[in-house]
Amino acid sequence: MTLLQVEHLGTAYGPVTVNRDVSLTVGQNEIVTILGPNGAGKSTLLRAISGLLKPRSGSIRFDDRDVTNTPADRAVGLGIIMVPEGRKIFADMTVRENLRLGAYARKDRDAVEEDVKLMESYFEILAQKRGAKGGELSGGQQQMLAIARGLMARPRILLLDEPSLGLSPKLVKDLRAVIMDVKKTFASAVLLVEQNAGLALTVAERGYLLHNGRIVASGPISELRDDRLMRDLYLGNTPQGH
Amino acid sequence: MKRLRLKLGLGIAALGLFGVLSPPSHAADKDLKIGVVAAESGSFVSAGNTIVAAAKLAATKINDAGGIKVGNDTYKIKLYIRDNRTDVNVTVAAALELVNDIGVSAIWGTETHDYSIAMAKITGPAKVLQFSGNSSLGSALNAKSVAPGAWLHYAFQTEPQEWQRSGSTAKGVLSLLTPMLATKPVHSVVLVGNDATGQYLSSHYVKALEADGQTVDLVKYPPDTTDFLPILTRIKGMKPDIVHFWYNGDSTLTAFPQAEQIHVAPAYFLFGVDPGIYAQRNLKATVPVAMSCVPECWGGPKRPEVDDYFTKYFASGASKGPQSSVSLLYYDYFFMYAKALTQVGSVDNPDGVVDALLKMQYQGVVSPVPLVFNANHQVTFATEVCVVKPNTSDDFHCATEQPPPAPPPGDAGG
Amino acid sequence: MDIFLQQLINSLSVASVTILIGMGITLIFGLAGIVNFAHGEFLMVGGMVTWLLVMAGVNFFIAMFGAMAAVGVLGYVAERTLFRFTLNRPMNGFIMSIGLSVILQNVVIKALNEVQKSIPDPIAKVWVIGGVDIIAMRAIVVAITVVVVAITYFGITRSRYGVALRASVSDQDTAALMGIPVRRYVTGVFIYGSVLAGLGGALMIALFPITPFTGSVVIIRGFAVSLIGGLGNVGGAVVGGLVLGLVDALSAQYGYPQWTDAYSLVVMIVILILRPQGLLGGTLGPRAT
Repeated sequence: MTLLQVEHLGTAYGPVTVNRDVSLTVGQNEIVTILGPNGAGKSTLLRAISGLLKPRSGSIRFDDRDVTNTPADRAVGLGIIMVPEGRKIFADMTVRENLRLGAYARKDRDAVEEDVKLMESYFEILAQKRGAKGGELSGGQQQMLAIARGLMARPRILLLDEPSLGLSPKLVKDLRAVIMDVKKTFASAVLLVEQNAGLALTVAERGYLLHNGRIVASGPISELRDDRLMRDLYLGNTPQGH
Repeated sequence: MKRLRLKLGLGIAALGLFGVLSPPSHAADKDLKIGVVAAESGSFVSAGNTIVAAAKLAATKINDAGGIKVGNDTYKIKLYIRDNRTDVNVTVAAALELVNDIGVSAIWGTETHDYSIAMAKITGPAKVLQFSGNSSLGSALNAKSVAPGAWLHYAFQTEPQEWQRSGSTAKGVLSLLTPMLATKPVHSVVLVGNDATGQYLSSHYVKALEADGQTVDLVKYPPDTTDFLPILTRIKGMKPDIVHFWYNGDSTLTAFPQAEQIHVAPAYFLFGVDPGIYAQRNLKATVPVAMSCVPECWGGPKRPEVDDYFTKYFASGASKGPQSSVSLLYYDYFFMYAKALTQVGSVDNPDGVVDALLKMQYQGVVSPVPLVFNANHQVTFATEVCVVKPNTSDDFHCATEQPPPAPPPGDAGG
Repeated sequence: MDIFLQQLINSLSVASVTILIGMGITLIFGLAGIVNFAHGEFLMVGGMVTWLLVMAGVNFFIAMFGAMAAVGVLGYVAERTLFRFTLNRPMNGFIMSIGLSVILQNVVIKALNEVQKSIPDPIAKVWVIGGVDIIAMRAIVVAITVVVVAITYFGITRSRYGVALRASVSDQDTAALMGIPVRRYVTGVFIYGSVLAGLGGALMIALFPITPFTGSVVIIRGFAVSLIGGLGNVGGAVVGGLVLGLVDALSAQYGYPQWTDAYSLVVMIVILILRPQGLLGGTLGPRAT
């Protein structure tokens, strides 16, 4: 069943058009990726889906409900959770406070406390650093915290904006494991946006290629990997099996 | 276009002809235009309202009695009242309008600061009579300035010279308070608003107190103060025997209860507060409180003429403000002016009216002895001072204090 | 020394009202970047509403809540009709707020008049403790302010709303991604700040008379207090208020009384020259300390 359906979406900042005629879907519990070079309009697309940006044209449907113009804070209540580019941890607040904030929109306060403990056991580093301020964590630790924070909202779909940016290969490996768990253990769909195809190609089931704001290729990951456009755009970057 | 102009020209000519040929109108009553410039709003509203009320009362009384007979005509007073909003610029604008546009014969006012002097610069050259209660006018009145042709020749001060008023007030206050205190008071603190009038009035009062043996500290507050507690606390630290609140009645009524709360002094003097207001607001103190009135008190034990006046004054709708007695500085003079006009026989002879006023003795309400203007256009009369028994609001004991014969040392008079 | 102690205690009550105003200003600026110059008039309206209610026979403490409600509504209306449109252009909001302050002043003058208004002391008791006269109502003002400051402080640091508020301030977009309705928080903070102003007005008129022009005087002190403490810093507003209170007491006792307003402004200028971010450091948003 299609969870997220984007049709002919157009986005713009003022007079500058970013995305044109973008159509994509994400099924329940699917891991889908959107790839593309810098400036392709990937983040803008995610901002539109998450509700931070109002699209110029087209539609977004979630769970067969029109969410085209739904603002971000209300989209959270529907289960659309985004982990933004650059992690955006609240630096002045503790790890615990960050986690709790992720669950802001939830009404079941007792279960929230349970989930905090759950996150701390799943991400050991969060248990260790629970009293530390967000700004004191390393890049990799912040990424884990950002994802944990997103999971605290019990997402139906988790939008990840360039999570591997600035992470070492080891951390990228950990990240891969976490994303698989988001699907398996936390039962959420994942829409993964990446500039670096390395992580995405090993973890996604389907993918789209975005270039100059438009979708130029799509399909199951195995097909996408061998696609000629992919090779052209990611010259030398496509991994040869993992 | 040419046709139109022709018609217009004919029309105007016709009107002119009509005007010339129409018979002179001997209207039954003519209007005597009198202006009133007073603070109907702003910080001096309490005093300003009294001028307006007094003017209306006097005008009504005169008009109801048949008006003023001047020559062959009978004049009814027509008042033109202007609110100066306790602002000198508005005062000047009002005076200009009354003198130039409306053409009044006389102006009553102001009670506020030295606006009267500003106004006199307009009324003088236009030969419009001016009656001002404000004693700051006194600093400008002298032989030169009131001489015929000089700018104050048409101005009259209806309140005694400040050193006279301060002298009688100081003496009266001390004589009433001293017997009620455990020890003889020697240290007085005078609290006054830091503006032009405050500085002028307090300078005379301080000298008067010193002439009566007091050591005086003068404390000034910013004019718009409503929280007097800090400054009163400071005064408390000076350990005064008497605190004299000077001169804005509304400020005094705010500051005095605050002073009593923290027991600033063993005795107080409230200037600009009539006993009637003290009683009406149910004010109470644990120590003796003196009040003075300009010139006769409303609310103290009385002369029948004064009682009668105040009864009529309030019946006419005047509000019971803290300085209702100020109205007396304006009331009697309407009758003096009317009398002078009748004597001179014309409304167009201001010089004649001035001469008539200077020679006149008038028995009015304001004073037990007839009113007389001295050579400098100033009246003299006594001040009434009252003291209220501690812990009561209306148990008053009053005395009339005559002005001293000469200014105290260090006081240049005026 | 006795007398100076008396001055300090007196000043505490005035400082309390200034702290309430300063907290409101700093909260509103900290979250929404809104500079509301009409905040002083909000206080004045609070005082006038209190006056109207007390003159109509309502008990002062009930009237106080009435004033808080009235000014809260006023704040809500102002935010919804004016300030929400200027969130991205704070300068416009500032200019509009100046216009708003003039409008409010004139409305009050038309509706009532320019003459000062006062109410009788609601408690009318004076406690004499160790030679110092403590006017009961002034002590109550300080007590009420302490309670309000505590509520605000703990609200911001501990409560769920406080955390969400700080998050909104820190990063509006990411806060929205948490599900926080940031615009509603802006409105909410604006209302809260306005309610504080209303309370300040009620407490002020319980101490001494106010006029329709009282707001203009108060706003300067309110901003001075917020700037001294650090704009956006709630704890800073409290510290700033106490500093000004001390300056007031000193100037009242030892300075030239005509210059009372000037002294506190001079102190503010000196502090801002030496430490432009304020004593506790201003932030881009409301902080507790």
